[in-house]
Amino acid sequence: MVAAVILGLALESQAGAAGTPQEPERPVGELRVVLAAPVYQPDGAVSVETSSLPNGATSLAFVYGRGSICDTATAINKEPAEAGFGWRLMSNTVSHSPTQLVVSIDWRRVWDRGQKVTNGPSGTVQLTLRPGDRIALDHIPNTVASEACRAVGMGLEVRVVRAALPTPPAPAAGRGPVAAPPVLPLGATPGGNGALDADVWLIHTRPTGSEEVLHQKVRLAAPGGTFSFSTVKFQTTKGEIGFEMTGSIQRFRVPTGGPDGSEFLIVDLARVVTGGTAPPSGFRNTTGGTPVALPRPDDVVAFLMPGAEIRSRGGGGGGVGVPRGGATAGGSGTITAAAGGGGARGGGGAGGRGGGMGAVQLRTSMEAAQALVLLEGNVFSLRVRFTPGQ
Amino acid sequence: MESRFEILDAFVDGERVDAAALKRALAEADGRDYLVDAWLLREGVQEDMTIEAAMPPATNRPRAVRTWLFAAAVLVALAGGYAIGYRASGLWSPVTTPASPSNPATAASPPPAVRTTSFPVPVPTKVIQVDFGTAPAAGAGGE
Repeated sequence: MVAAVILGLALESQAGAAGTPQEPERPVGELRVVLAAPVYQPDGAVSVETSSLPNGATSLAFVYGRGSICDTATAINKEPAEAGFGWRLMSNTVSHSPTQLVVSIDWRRVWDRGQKVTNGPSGTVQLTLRPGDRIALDHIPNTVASEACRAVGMGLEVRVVRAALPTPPAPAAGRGPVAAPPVLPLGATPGGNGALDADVWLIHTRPTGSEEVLHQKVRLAAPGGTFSFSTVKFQTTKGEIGFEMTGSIQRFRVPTGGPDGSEFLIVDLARVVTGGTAPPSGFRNTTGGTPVALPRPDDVVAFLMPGAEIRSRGGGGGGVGVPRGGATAGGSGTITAAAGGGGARGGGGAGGRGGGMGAVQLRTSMEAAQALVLLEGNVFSLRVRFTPGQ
Repeated sequence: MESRFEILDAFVDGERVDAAALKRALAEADGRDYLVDAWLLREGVQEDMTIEAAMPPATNRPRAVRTWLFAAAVLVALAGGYAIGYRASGLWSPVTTPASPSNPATAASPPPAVRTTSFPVPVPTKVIQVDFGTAPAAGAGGE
């Protein structure tokens, strides 16, 4: 791995000296406010329900738990009837720029211990937020812990996310600097059938095995949609590292294929790794478009990134198409850290392909390898479930 | 009543007891059951007395209840792992237990319209390996 990185850096410097083309600056999405409800488990695991708010308008939001604080959800504009714990928030974006966001938030705890309360804690704050910031507003301890919900408590936080940009039209073959256009079935046309809801989970497995999971639900209109997770931060030997994950999902109708015989998705993931030895803007990498036949509503698709593997498959990596029920080791534990091996695997792959790559492609690959090194055994994966829009 | 469980009676009554003997008694499943039964019985008696007495010695009742609750908490720790604690919380927390009478997360069958929950994370039914930054374009590589 180290050798691959050194080789890559050397090649990169040579490429730069020779004046080879550099990857063009990518446009970045605007910053948005994210409401987060982290639920802390006794073993150190954290599950975080998140919901991003649009800029430019006052938003009314509810962040809440249902029967327990372990069953969290968010609602925009409409007060939920099933809430038992949680808050009501009014948010107004005062200003926003590419680097910071000023937001005014009025919050109040309106449910606790299964009942609506009128004199709960509350506050009004004006916050200047930058990417990676996390501001805690309140915390509800779990006073009725049970076998079903052992959580210690649920917090209310304000975070920042950089919105994902819709994937631009795929470049013509031979001209794209990074990825080949995804292969779609013949006759595919842009646009899906009706609205879809996508539940998206970002799973961060620490080297210790404990997990931090962020969840959000996004609406996919006929053309598709995007999702963005706020920065996940963790400590390594090289200091604090930040991991951002965004994604774009495009929808296509096809004459045949897919569970309902009519739709395919193109999923494009992007990550930014910051901190440590990363450049100021971080290591930014994308997967390129991955075609996926629209799964059934009870299907859950896992996107494994380098460093993650299916536990039941040993060290084989590359687990594509695990049959239904094949990965039933239980909960999110089916995906586990490779404890550093992932870095080696990623680096090896990048180095091995170096010979036939253009300079920009090589640089991209080496950045991906360096990003893996920075993660130091912290593994990320994504799961997505698509259901008809409600 | 079996004599070997007298110590549990004494403990529930708030008397000073030998900790080792108490542990031995609680080590038996019968002992734990006996404790719960004795506790329920005394709580029932306590409630009746509270209702009938209405006023006078009311000052002692809450204190006594709190003492029992404290004793129960100690027992939970001693019994270790046994579900007494869980059952006990239902006994003295009538106000909080209704908080989840219709807890949908634990209900055996969901409502007609399937409501999905965010957590725990569902088990994947399909796995796709993605790779950041490699994406070898057929034409791009030749540049």
